[in-house]
Amino acid sequence: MPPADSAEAPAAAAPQATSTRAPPRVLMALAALLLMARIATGVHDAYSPPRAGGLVHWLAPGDPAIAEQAGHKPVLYDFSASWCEPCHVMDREVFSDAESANYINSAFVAVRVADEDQSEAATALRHRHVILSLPTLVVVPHEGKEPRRIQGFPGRRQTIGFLRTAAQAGIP
Amino acid sequence: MNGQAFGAVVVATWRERLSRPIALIVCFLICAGVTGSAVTADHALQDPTLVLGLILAAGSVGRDVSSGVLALVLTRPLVRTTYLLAKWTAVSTAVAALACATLALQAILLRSHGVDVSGGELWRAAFGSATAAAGVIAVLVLFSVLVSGVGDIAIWVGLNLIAFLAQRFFPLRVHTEWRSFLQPTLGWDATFGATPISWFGLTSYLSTVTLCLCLAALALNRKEISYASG
Repeated sequence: MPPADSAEAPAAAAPQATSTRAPPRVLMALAALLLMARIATGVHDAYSPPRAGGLVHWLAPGDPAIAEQAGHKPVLYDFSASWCEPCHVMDREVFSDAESANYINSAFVAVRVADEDQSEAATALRHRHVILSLPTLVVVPHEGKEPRRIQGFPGRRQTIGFLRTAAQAGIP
Repeated sequence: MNGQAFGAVVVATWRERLSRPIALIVCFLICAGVTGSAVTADHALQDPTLVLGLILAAGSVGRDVSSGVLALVLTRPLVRTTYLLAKWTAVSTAVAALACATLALQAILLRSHGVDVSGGELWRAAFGSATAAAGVIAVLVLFSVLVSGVGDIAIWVGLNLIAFLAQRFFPLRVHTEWRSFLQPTLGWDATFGATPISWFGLTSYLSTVTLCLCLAALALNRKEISYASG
């Protein structure tokens, strides 16, 4: 049986103003435009100033200070990367905000684990906490309590809410 | 685009998708389960969009091809792109409506249990749910054009599984981009709550959705549809 809507339609068929296989021109133009915008904004973000980490006093994985301070407060691991756009947004919205940064500095031992950091300590942390997407925040409380985590950047309000809940749960 | 034909396909798709008793029962059980978990365990809104999308979007085009319905539909002067966009619109709106209704029910129950859920929080969850529905279903529609039956779900699950199994062998960046292609979504706070607006997030989401629909339309235009094509 011939295709119901084959390209070689019978000549006797009623002439139509538009072919049923008309190419989606508007959709193609829109897709091309948005793809260009995506590339442009991606390039813009890549050439933006590098992430400074805001006002939070980040420690590097493997820093001896982590073990010293971890006895008093929970450890906050920030798994992020320079290529990760939501990580930049989280930096701007949470870690560069004075109030949020002061809270994090007082309530947590803050450790930043950058994807570019291929040191043994950083790799071990990524494997231990099974990091599947960025950014991921993991709060490791004192022994005997389960770590809490949040994947992606759900916005400033929810991130702070998560940190407050996790900090309360992590108090020895 | 023929608005009348578009509307007719949308209504027919709603009727077809929402009149299957087994799918409706499964959707109801999922919404009930998610609501129960949100109220009793998590005390926060839980979004059921992804699972609802997989159930209601399964074989959105592929089933029409394998059952021979598409061959009949295309005997009418219906532009294939119109058919495809109508399918996407119908399934996306159905999934988004069900998910938003579930979120609203969760909000009411949570408030009755003394958990403070503001209108803004509900709006943000509903926005995320609607964008997730439009995004995931655009991806599923693309797969559905490529394979018959409910093979689109098999491809989607398979690609997610490959991403999960291959995470140790590929850089995290590849894994992250892969997931954002399979599950495009747009968070209100993360995109519009940021200063300045997250233009990359916005354009990435819109670009993925339009690219999937565009590729699906081009693939459908090249497809030979006959009663034997299933």
